Amino acid sequence: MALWGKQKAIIHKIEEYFAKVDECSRKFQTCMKTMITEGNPENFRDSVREVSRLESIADDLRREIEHELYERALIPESRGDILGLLESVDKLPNTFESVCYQTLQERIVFPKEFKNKFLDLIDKNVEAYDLIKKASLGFFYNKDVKRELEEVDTKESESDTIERDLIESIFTSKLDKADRILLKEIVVNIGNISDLALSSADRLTIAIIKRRT
Amino acid sequence: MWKLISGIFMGWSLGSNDSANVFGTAVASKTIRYRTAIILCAFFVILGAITEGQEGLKTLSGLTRQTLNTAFIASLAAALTVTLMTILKLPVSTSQAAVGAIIGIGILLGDLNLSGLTKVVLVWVGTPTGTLIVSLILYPVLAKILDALPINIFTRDYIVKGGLLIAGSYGAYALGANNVANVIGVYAKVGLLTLFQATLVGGLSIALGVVTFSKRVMITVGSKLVKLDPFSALIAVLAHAIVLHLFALVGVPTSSSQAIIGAVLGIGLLKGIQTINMRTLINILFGWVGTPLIAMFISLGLYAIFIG
Repeated sequence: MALWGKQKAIIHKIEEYFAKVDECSRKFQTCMKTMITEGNPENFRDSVREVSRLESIADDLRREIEHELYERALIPESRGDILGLLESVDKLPNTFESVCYQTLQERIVFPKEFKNKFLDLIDKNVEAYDLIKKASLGFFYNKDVKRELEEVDTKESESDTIERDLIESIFTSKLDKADRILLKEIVVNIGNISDLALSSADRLTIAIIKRRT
Repeated sequence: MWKLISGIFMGWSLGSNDSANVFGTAVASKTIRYRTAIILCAFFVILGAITEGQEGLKTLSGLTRQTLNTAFIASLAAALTVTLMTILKLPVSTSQAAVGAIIGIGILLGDLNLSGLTKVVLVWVGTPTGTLIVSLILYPVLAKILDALPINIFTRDYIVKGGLLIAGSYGAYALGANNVANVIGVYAKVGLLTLFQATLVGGLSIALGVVTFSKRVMITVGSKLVKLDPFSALIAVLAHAIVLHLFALVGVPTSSSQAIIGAVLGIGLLKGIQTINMRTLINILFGWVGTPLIAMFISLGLYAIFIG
């Protein structure tokens, strides 16, 4: 019975971790969208601090899970897969935070003509995160997550298309060269979210194949 | 009484080689620690030998017409052969070594029972075939049950790990019950030991081999032939234990090594023939042909030295 309790404790901690990353992603999505549409850096500063706080809590939870996984007598192969997956997923909240800080510190201004494309890019990348979260939790509960993993790939491709389109539009606009480069960098960093989600999905696919009976 | 030493030596060599069949897959897949494996294996080998080893002893006593001297030489030749194979990291059959040694002596004395030999060879073929079939049946059935359970992956891992410990312990029990006759059967037959004493001495000597010299072959069985995941390891160990126990119940000593190789091959077939390491398989098959031959020549040599 003690073993049962320990397993439950780990799985609860993993759920808690994903809930925190989820909160972080929602805050990232709303504050970036507000910044893109309204461009109010003062309110944005507080929101960025909140994203950073949530990222830091998620980081602490991930470390706790890792320590517990090492201490528990789990099958070594599974332990490696789970630790690898968590570390891979953990790059997502890091990127939410870094995109926010980049926008704040570099005083990024989103020109009106690109607003819709930026909003699309944010949504598409948060959707990719949502899917990898669902797939990861499904994996922990031994469920079939093939559809979610395939959709991560689709979202990443859609994000790539928006990125390319946006970068081309930025560089054919009349913006100052420095502004163009800053905007391009933020486009690439937002797109990085779905790239990371896809890399986690690849890792998860291998873990699932290894466990297939 | 000192001639019993070659029987104890044979028990030790059997333990050092055949415990790999029981826990090799679990240890090589790092699901169970080597230390835990050898403690469980030693305990259950002794338990199996004492509680259910007597049937095999009776069968073997009825088959052979050995004296104490020939028993000493046959056991020593078989033990030397198995130890040689253990050093070469090959899982071989102790019963094959024993039969090879007995044939050697039989040739010298002009007393070779060919019809008995045919039965023995049939059992050798039947054992790996049996475990291959059992693993082909067990794998999909248990996989379906495990996949249908509404459990998280941690619980699943604990079930597989617990299953490996139980199946491994059962396998060790079956090994003791089945193979103690190979080790010490002839000594019971010539009246040097009672049946109970024979099972006790045999069980303890196998356990000694398990504890002191079993790591080399464990790795060959567990990782070199087919790379096994923990669930496949569980199926292999379970199939091995079931078949070996069935043979013990009917009092037919058979090869634990052939049993596990059959089971592992069954999983290899399910997972795709490309997962089987053909080089290791050929080495193992060579060991199976070579073992009785080497034991036979060693027994001939020992006979010449000790009896003339």
